[in-house]
Amino acid sequence: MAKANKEISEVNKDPNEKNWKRFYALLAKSPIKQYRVVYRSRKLKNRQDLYSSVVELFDAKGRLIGTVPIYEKKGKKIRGATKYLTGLSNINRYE
Amino acid sequence: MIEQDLKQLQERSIYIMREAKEKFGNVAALWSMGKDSTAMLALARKAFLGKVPFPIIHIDNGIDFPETYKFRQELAKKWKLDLIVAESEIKPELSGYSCCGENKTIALKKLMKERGFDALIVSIRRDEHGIRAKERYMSPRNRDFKWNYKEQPAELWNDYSSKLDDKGHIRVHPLLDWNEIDIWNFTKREKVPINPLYKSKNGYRYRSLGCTHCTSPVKSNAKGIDGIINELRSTKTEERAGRDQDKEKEYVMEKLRALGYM
Amino acid sequence: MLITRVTLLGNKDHGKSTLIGSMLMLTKSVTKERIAEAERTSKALGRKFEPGFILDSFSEEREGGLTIDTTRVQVKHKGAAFELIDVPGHEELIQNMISGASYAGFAILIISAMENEGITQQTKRHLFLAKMLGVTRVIIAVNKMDAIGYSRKAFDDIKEEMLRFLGRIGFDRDSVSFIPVSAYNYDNILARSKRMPWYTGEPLMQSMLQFSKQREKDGKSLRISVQGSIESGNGTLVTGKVISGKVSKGDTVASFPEGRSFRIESIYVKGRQKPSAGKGDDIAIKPGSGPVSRRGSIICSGRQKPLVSDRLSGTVFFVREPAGKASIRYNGIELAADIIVHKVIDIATGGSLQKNSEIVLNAAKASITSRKKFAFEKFNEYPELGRFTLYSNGTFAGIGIID
Repeated sequence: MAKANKEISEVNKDPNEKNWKRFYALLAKSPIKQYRVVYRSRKLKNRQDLYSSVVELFDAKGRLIGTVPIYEKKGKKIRGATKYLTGLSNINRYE
Repeated sequence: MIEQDLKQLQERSIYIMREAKEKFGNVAALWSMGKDSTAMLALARKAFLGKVPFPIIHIDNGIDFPETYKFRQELAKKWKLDLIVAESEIKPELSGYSCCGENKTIALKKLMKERGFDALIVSIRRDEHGIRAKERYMSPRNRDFKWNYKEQPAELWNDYSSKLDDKGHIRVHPLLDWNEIDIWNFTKREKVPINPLYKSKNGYRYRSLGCTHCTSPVKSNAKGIDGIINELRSTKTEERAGRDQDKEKEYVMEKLRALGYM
Repeated sequence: MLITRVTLLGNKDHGKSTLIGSMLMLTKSVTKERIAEAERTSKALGRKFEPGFILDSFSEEREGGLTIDTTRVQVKHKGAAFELIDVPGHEELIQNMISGASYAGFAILIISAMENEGITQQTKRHLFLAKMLGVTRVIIAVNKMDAIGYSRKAFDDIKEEMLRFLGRIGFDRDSVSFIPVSAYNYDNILARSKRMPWYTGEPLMQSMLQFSKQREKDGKSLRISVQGSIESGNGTLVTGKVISGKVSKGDTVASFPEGRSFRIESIYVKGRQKPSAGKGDDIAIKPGSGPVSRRGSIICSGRQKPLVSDRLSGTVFFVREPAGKASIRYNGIELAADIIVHKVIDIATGGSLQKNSEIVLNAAKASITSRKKFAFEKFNEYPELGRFTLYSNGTFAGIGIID
């Protein structure tokens, strides 16, 4: 089973469209099955809050495989990137 | 929560949607893949005999749940929807509602200008929050999306609003009379597809779906629609418990509306 | 549950919000969040908690103590459901009040029993308008009984004066009921009050239950109000609403003002083909021949026809001085029209005023001549097809019913 480690680290280094698309292409064949979104703060007050939030990726058994950012850089614009996780299941849990 | 007669509710909704299509040349509807806007699409298919004869807009900030994106993809294909995805930015500097609020409004304004829509179908319900209780079936917005709630037009019988001016548009609210539980009863009866996040997993489910940032799950064991309906029948809490925005300052919702935020 | 719509008429100062709030709390029809929010608000504003705070959603309202627009609130009681449509009491907001009253099943009028409050010009105007808008049954809640020592005489005096007025404007004595209440102390709202043993009638919620059980009879001829048309896989369909009667597949019907008949090939109710449709159904019809019926037309069985003319007489209520180009909107169509006022009616008394009297906020008998002929009905025969709105230079100017 192809691991997506290289794609994960690429997208962490530079979350541009190209890297995200590469990551997404590998997703179906990888062991990544679940995700959890972790926002660093309740309010996204500034760019740092956004940059430091992550999505944790897990396999079918719930073991952590890696994390990816939550945003995508499109030129000067910042957009969300969770669409690149389509197909995964949510395991968020808050108190 | 009062469970209303579905026949009575559907009649008005179908009437309002048909009226919007008759009166306004260029109609579009907002879709968030939530239970309300999806029920609205199901109602549109009833009103227009199996199809949705206007474009459907998703204002996408990019941080919706992956399940939501999947649901969007599948239903758009199944129902042959004319889907427009309007991408919005996330600008944290704008306000506490960086992912939604003004950012989404900006994206919507841009799209409205490009496509010149006269009327926008929005799936809000009167029981959702006190402020929305003041809305009307058809409510005009001017060019800047401002809503002058103090000068609401009379909405008599079947004489619904006309546009304020050429650059404005009318907001159409076919689900205004529906309660949360009515939407679920309708969804169950008509077998309307739903976003899987509404169903309970690991003891939690999402009662109301916003994007990943603003939405928190609530404790629940409702694994299917029947479970959800039973929970609603016994619950004493408001639907938006779990949506952070509402815990903000009291009057902010109203200001957001006046700015054009749905 | 079928919802019965109830219009709440009367002055804000006479305790309407408190009445609604008390109904919500007594029937347990409000969530704990709403109550908590109302309590927080009253604390923040330094005021004592009032059930009325549960309703006010606009910031200006909380600070000024006024309800600006119609609010709809649902309460349930013994298996029945009511939507309470609150309309504000101030004269300058009367335009909004008309919108609120127009969806009513019956009305509740609140009158304060206090001496400096009581029956006002506005009370009478509200009732006249309600009657004009098709409300035929009223429950009159005489409120603030606690402030006058629960005096029977005060209640009887109000009841007597109101009965006289109601009779004059055409209400049946049987369709009116009077209840002495105190919304603040919950007297006679849900349970019969021990503080008024002289009152042997029903408390408010019980009376509402009784009123809701009386339903309109429908024995009338077929009337379909045409909304427009839609394209479908089965060709062009005529859309509309069945106002009265019943229509079946295969029937031959006639559309007016066109004056043409056609056969009904198929009927769709809520998107599905059905053999027939009845009152209240929103339908789509496939006609046997080409396009015949347009938006604003009336479809009937052919035997019993609607009126078709470009002249009609009506009773109108102006909220604005009509000036410049006038038009009427009827059943989704707009027609330029000339309006001539014959007589002005003082709605506080029901009597006539001089012809050049102030017509705004009074009623008038008028003749209306429209640019084109159209089909319509008299209000007392088919209320849904016997009313229209008036526009003056594109702005809403009033409402009318066809005599």
